Amino acid sequence: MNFTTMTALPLGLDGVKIALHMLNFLILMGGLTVLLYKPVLKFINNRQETIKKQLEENAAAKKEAEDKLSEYEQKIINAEKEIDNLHAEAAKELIAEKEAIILNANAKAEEIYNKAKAESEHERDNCIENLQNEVAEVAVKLASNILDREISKEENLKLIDACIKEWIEQ
Amino acid sequence: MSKITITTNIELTKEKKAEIISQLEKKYGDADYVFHVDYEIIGGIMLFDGDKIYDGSIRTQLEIFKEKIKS
Repeated sequence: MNFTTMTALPLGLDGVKIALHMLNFLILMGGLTVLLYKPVLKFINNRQETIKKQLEENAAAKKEAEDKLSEYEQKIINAEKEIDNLHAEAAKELIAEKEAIILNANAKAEEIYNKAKAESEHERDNCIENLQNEVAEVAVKLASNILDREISKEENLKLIDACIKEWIEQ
Repeated sequence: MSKITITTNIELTKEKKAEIISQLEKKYGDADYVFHVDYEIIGGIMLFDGDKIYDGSIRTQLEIFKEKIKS
């Protein structure tokens, strides 16, 4: 049997050549598999591990960032509350201070009023007393002048007798 | 002998002085009676027996009146 004739194919190929090419290809594939498959597989595995680690780290970092964000948001809320409390306390202190100032002013006003009233009353009493004294002085002076001029000798002697009589009887 | 001082605002006659002494002897007996004139008392009489003053002068009555007005 003429193998060449039997296996003649277009493009000048024949069965032997195809078989050789296939053998060659298989050898190449075997060599490539031996030489490249394991390193590539190892590289791919390593790469997968790296990516996995990075993903885990990213997830951890994301979680940490979210925790931090949550913490900062809580801190902001707390700070706002603190600010509100401080405002409220400041307002309370301001009101208390205002009330204290008003009370103090009222007390001082009352004190001034009482002092002025006392001084006024004292002054009035002094005026009345001075007036009474002046009236008494003038009245007695007038009475003295009148009695000195008007009392008669007889009336004077009667008064003298009456006094002596009273003293002797004591 | 005790001394009795009598003060008036007028000069008394001898008869009046004797009458006064006669009255006072009922209380003080034999004493040295001295008469004194002080126009400031206005009227009435004052007597000092060495221990006590008896004041029946108009001036003192006016002073009492003045104090009553003041009070």
